[in-house]
Amino acid sequence: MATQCALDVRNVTKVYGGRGKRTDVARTIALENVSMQVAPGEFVAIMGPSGSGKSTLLNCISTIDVPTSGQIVIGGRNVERLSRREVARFRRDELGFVFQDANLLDTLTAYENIALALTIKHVPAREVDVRVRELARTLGISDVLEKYPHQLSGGQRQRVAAARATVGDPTLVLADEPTGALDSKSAKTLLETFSLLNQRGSTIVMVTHDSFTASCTERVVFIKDGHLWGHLERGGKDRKAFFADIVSVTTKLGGDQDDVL
Amino acid sequence: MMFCKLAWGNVRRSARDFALYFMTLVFGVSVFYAFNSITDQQAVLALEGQSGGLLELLGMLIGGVSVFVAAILAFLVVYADRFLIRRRKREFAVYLTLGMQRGQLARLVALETGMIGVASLAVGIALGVGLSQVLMRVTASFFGAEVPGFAFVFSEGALAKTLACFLVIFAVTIVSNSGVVMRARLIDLLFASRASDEMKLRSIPLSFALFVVACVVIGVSYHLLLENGLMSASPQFYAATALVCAGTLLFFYSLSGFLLRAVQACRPLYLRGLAMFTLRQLNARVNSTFLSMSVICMTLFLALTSVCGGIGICNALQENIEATTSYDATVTTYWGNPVNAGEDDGVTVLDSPYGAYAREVDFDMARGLAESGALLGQPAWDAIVQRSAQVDYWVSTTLTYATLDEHADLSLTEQGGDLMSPDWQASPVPYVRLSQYNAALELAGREPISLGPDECALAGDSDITLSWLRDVADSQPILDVEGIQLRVVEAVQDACVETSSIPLQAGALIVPDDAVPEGLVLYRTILDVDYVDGNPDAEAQFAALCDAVNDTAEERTWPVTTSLTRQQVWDQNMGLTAIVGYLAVYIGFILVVASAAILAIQQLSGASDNAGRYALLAKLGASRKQVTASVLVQVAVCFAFPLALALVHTVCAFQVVADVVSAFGHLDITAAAGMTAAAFLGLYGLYFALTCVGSVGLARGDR
Repeated sequence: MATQCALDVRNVTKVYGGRGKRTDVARTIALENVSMQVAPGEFVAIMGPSGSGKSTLLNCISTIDVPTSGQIVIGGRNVERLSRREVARFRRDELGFVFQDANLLDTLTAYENIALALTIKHVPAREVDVRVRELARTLGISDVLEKYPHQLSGGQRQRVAAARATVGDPTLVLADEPTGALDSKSAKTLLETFSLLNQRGSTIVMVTHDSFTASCTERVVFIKDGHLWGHLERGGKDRKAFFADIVSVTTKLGGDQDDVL
Repeated sequence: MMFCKLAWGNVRRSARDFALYFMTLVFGVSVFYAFNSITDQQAVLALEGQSGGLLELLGMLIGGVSVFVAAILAFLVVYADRFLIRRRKREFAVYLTLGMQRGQLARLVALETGMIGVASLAVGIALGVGLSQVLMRVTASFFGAEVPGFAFVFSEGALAKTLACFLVIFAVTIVSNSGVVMRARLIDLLFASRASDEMKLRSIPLSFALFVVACVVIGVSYHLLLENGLMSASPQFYAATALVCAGTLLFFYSLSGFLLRAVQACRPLYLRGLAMFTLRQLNARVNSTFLSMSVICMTLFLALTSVCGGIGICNALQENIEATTSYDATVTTYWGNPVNAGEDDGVTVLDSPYGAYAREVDFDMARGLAESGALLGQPAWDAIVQRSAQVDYWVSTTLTYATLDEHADLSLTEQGGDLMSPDWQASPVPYVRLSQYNAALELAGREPISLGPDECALAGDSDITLSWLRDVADSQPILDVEGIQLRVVEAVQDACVETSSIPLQAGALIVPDDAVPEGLVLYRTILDVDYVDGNPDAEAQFAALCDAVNDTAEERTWPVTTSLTRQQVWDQNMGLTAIVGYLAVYIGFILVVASAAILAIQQLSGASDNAGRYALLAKLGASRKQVTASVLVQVAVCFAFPLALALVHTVCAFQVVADVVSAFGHLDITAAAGMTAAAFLGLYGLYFALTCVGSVGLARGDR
């Protein structure tokens, strides 16, 4: 598994401030010695309370931030060693993003928003059209393609964003609280979309603090205070059972320090 | 004290935002000061008489224009400041949430405006003082005055005016800013960036159709203008003006939609890199900026035409002056209007006592003037004038301009003849005797011409008719000169055989001496003179003599209509050149700077509003190169299109402006346009470059 990983996080530590001196008071350890692997085709959730370091981890994985030590390997490449020019190309070719607030370009139509992910890679125009329409059909957003983001509902926007993230067949799709701004019905539809994309072969890593959202995945990784706290596999359970498992873990996770998650 | 520190910190921190604003202010202040200091240069240059008067006139004109300039600058400053405020809404929100009073916030903003204002005034005036030294030397060369050694001119009047004007502008700005700050609600300030995301979106096919309509409307207005010219304020002219304004407005309203639609039609181009983002972005922005783009286009158009026209007139005057001042002086006598000279009711100078005197001296002008001068107690003629040559223009009874026009391929009316008087066709062609014409040529140091006994030659020096005369002479027609048939030689004499401000000889016929029979009526007589070499006061003495003869009521004197010395023509022309040139450059400069600054500010504000979008593009993996290119294309479109349309407008307008300028002489449009284009494109380009750097920086988010 180690050689074929979609994502391989090896002993990653991230320290903010203090210029590395261990005695410095301004030093904040956001992540310490975190390791995790995601196999191709997996659908993984990263859970943790606020301030646990899950966003820092996601930023490091998505090349927005650089770890203080340790390695992150995506699709066989060491991301923390990439030059600035390579980073742009790497994000373009290997990563897909879904943000909490869709983050679509409001001046572009839904179609164009999805196509943009391909055009910046210089995919030929004919292929762009075929791929965008094919994916839109799969995700059930064909009839909103010519609309502008402000004409779409929140759920539709997120599904367009999911389409944008996956249309370029990235090695890894990163989703940061994708259901955070959605009502429960839209959230459910979006999660079904993610499952569908996962079945089509996308590898998805999703950061969330919502147990229900996490229960749609195959595996949940828990982070707390910058440390890997444990993980939970679905292992053939149905969703309700998995949800119950997750809730019990998060309760325990929060209970450790006498505050409620 | 704390406020000062905070304000100063703010100014320093956002130095990049303020840089462009500051630069524009400094430009404005220095040019304003320098041009307003022109009248005070008179003291240093010690100009007298006509030149002094012209300089005073220039000062008055600049004073008037400065009011207009001040209004433009005030608009610019208020606009620019609004932009800077808008960019800082979030910062203001923080101050307010921290418990700062609105009044205190307004004071903070006022303090910042004041700091920048004082700094720009100081730098601008320092620069302006330098610029006015340059201007003084230019003025000196125009008016032929000497700059006495190291002269340093500092105009207190201009300083006071500049200070007063800009202090008022800053006061207005501060009041306007305070209004914005005092009225702003915290919630709006906090969510300022979100509010800017709302945008009007228009149907793209409609834009496409509108664009076509806009082009048609502009085309129609061009057609109207070219058909009817600029000379008469006809309804067509007003229609052309209105249409061109409407067309321009519509052009920019639909431009981005058209571009979008046009590129969309070509899928491979549209679905390539950030092309669709760039176009959509333009479309979204132009919706809100089309009005200012139209105004900027028309402003640039105004600047280009005023400056090109101004420089063109200057050039024309400069080119003429060598040709029209071949003699130290020329005295002219008009005997009567040739059109009604033959009619009974035409009472002319010939019938007056002065005419009787002229007849008495046998129409010998030199003798007449010498005797008149002596009679009026002026210095002796021979002590002033070394040599002279007289040229008589006789009224033809057989030839009119209409006769000549029959021999032209293209009628004079079609060759810009609308500048001629309406009854030009009925005007008789004046005759000049070959010997007199040659004498005048020889006095100017030119080669005399020779004609066969059955030949004649056309002569003219006005740019309005010269090509027409050549056209006539080309066919070498045989003309009936008082019953004698003479063939016109092909060469047209274009020398100006007198000293005058503007070449005005529309066309005369040089004929062998004996072809002018007795009994013909004199229309005009001129006397070209050269002064005595050794007499340094000849100029003044001659002018005084002519004035005396002109003014006197004494009947036994020569009837002088006008007299012009070379020095007077030079002074006049240089003065006019200076006035026209200065005004054109002053207005043009301010207009170009103002419009370029507004464009720059708009683009920068756009780039900062869109910083989030560019950040998203970076997250999606668009390379820096792609993002930079997208920003540059957007800035370039916004700078290039108003300029391009303004240039097209200017080219069209110049087709008719050239007609007007040809009255002053030959208009060398290419040279004038080249100079202007170079200077102003440089300035415009500077703003463009700064905007590019600023926008790319904002888009990359490195601040």
